[in-house]
Formats: sequence, structure tokens, C-alpha cells
Amino acid sequence: MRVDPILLVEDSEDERLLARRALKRSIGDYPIIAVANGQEAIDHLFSPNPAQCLTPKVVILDLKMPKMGGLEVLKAIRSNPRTSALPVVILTSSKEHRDLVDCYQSGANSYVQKPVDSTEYSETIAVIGRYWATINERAQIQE
Amino acid sequence: MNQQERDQMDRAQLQIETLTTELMETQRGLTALTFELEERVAERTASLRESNQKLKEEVAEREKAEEEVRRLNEELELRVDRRTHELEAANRDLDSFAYSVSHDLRAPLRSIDGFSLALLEDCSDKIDDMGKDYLHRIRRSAQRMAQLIDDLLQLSRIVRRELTRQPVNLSRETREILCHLQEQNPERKVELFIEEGLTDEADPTLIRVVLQNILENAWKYTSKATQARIELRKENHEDRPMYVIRDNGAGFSMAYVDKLFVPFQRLHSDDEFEGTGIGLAIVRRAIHRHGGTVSASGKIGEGACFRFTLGPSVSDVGGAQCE
Repeated sequence: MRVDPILLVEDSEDERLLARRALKRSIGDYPIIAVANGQEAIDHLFSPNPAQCLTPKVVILDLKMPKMGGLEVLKAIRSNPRTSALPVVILTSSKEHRDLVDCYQSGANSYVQKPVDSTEYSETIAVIGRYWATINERAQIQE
Repeated sequence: MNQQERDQMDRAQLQIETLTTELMETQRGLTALTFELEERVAERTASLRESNQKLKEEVAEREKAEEEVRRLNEELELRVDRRTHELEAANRDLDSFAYSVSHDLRAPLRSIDGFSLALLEDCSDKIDDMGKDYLHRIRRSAQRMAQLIDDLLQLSRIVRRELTRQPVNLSRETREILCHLQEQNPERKVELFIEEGLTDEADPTLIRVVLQNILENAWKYTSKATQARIELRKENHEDRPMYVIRDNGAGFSMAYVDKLFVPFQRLHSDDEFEGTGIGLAIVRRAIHRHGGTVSASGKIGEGACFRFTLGPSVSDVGGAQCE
């Protein structure tokens, strides 16, 4: 059975590495596709070749990134019928109220502030991975 | 014609001559009067024309002055508009600055802390105890720096916030904050005195920040006191209520009272009492935003006392109006 991967969109290479590590510790060798900005995420999600279009289990999305920010990616996901129901978790260091409101109004499933404390950080990512992976697996078993 | 008739005629002639002379004199007089009158009318007309001209000039001058005032007013409005736009732009700049500070400074910290933890967890068999201690020190510093960034951002937010005054119950806020501190440190026994019913017009968010910072300090600095006590009272300062928060904790020397409200100035080392040194700077800004004053007094080993008002006293306002 093909497993849908987790799509991690994060511009910091360090954080991609740390997030991968945290996910590995919580859900083992789960497939993860990590990209460095919004444009790369869009390229994966909406490839011109329908067979290559990625349908991840969950998108973990940073907000402030070069080329294309997370909010734009979120809006693109929500406005396409194929991806409109994808779980999207915003993972950002922004504590700005308006970012949170913008994200929820644009259809984010969850808005998580990146903790600086790395124990908290890795637990937060672990919970996101575990939650969406198990939920989707249960759904697949029921089907 | 007889003599008598001739005499009569002579008399009549004489009378006529006399009358004629009189008439001619009257006529001369009238002509002179007419001339004089005409002269006077001409004079008056000239002076009237002159004052008319003056009035016209004055009116023109007034209109010019009014026009000038109108022009200056418009210019002033334009300048105010322009200045407002400039200020709004500066505020937006400050906003985005704060935003990028929070984002850009936190990101490297997450790497420092994250990889320190990764080393501790993934390579613990290759690192000896000294190495692990160093890694723990790195992690503590990273977290302390994160706290400093958060505090700086809070300070900048206080300056940018729009002030909205509404009735605030200081007694209740104080009780809630102290209850929360008690829940966090259930082992501590602190005697509390909170004067009831202290309400004032203030910005609820800012006033909470003020109370939170002063009370957290009081809570922290009484942690080593044998019989800790924290109190909130009201004193009357001229015509305004002055709120007094007093503790019997570590206190401070009045020699350093000027440094108390300066950002990042600390009177205690982190080993004694933890902190970033920004709390009282935040307090002062929040109080100043209300137009009030805040002051501190203390003595080493005998506690600290903070007094604040939430607006200018009436005498201050009167003074400002006289200027």
C-alpha cells in the first residue's frame, strides 16, 4: 500500500533537519517530502502531469519564506477541489495576532507557534506527525 | 401835479430805491451763502469719498488677510495629513521591524537549542559529563535569549498600542495575578493584603501588564523572606488616587533607584533572582502612556514599594492649560 507522505515546507535547512529528526522519533521511517519554499510546495502539489500530483497526508507549512509565503500556498490548496480538504498545519515563529487570524480565515486546520525550546519543538512536531498519520491510517482502515 | 403829489411820489421813489437796495443786498448775501454751502458740500463729498476709499481698502485688506488665513489653514491641514502619513508609515516600519526581529532572531536560536538537544539525545554515548554540562549551558543561554527577545517585543508593543480607557478593578486583577502565582508555586506561603474596590479608568491590557510585572517582582523577591507579605493599597496623592504595591522581600538600595526602570538594568544576578531586566521598563512605559507617574522606594533586606497613578493629577493638567 502506498503511503501518502508528510509535506514539510520550511525555508530553514536546520529546521527541516530538526523536524525530520522529531518526526522520525515519533512515527519512525514515515515518508517525508521537505521543500524550502512555497513555490516548491506548489510545484509538488499541482504538477502539470496529474499522475505526479502529490496528495500528502498533512502539510506542515511555515509562513515567512522566500519566493512564496505559507499563506499563499494555503490559499492555493483551499481553492483547488482536489486539495481543498487537505489538512494544513501552520508552523511559524510569528506571534502576530493578524497572522493567526489570516491563517484560520484562509482555512488552516491548526496554527502552531514554533517553540524555541527544542524539547517543546520536537514534541510539537511529533504530535503533529502522530496525530495526522494515525488519524489518516484509521480512516484508511475503515475504508 | 401839485406839490403834495410830487412829494408823495418822491417818497415812494425813495422807498422803492431803499427796498431795491435791500433786495440786492439780500440777494448778494444769498449768493454768498449758496457759494459757501456748495463749497462745504464739495468738501464733505471729498472727505466721504476719501473715507469710502479707505473703507474699500480696508475691506480688501481684510479679504486678503482672510484669504491668507484660509490658505495657511489649508497648508496646515496638508502638513498635518502629510505628517500623519509619515507617522503611520514609521509605525508600519516599526511593526515589520518587530515582526522580523521576532522571526529572524528566534530562528538561529532554535537551531542552537535544537542541535544541542540532538547531540544530548543522539550522541550521549560519545559525550562525557563535562561535554553534556556545556551543552546544557548552551541550551539555557538560548532559552534566555528567546525570553529577552519576547520581552523586547512586548516593550515595543506597549508603545504602539492604542490606549482605550475603561473602568478596571485593580483589586480583582491583583487577586487573580497573585492566585495564579500561588498556583504556580503551591509550596509558598505569602501573606496578602489587597484593599477592596479599587477601580480606576485605565487600559485593561496595559494595566494588567503593569500589575503583572510589579506583582511578579514582589512574588519573586519575597521568595527568601521568612514571613513574606505583599500588599496593595490606595493612597490619596493630591487629587488623584495613587496605588501602592509593597513587599517585604529582598528590597534594593536607593542608590540604584534610577537604574530600576531602565531596560536590561538589573540589580540582582541571575543566580540570586532570575529575570531579564525589562519588566519595570515595561511598567514605566505603560504608566506613561496613561499620563501617570511611577516611583519606587526600598531598602536592602526590608522590601520594595512601588507607587503609581493612572493619569495626570488635576493640578498638572491646570498647569499645562496655563502655558
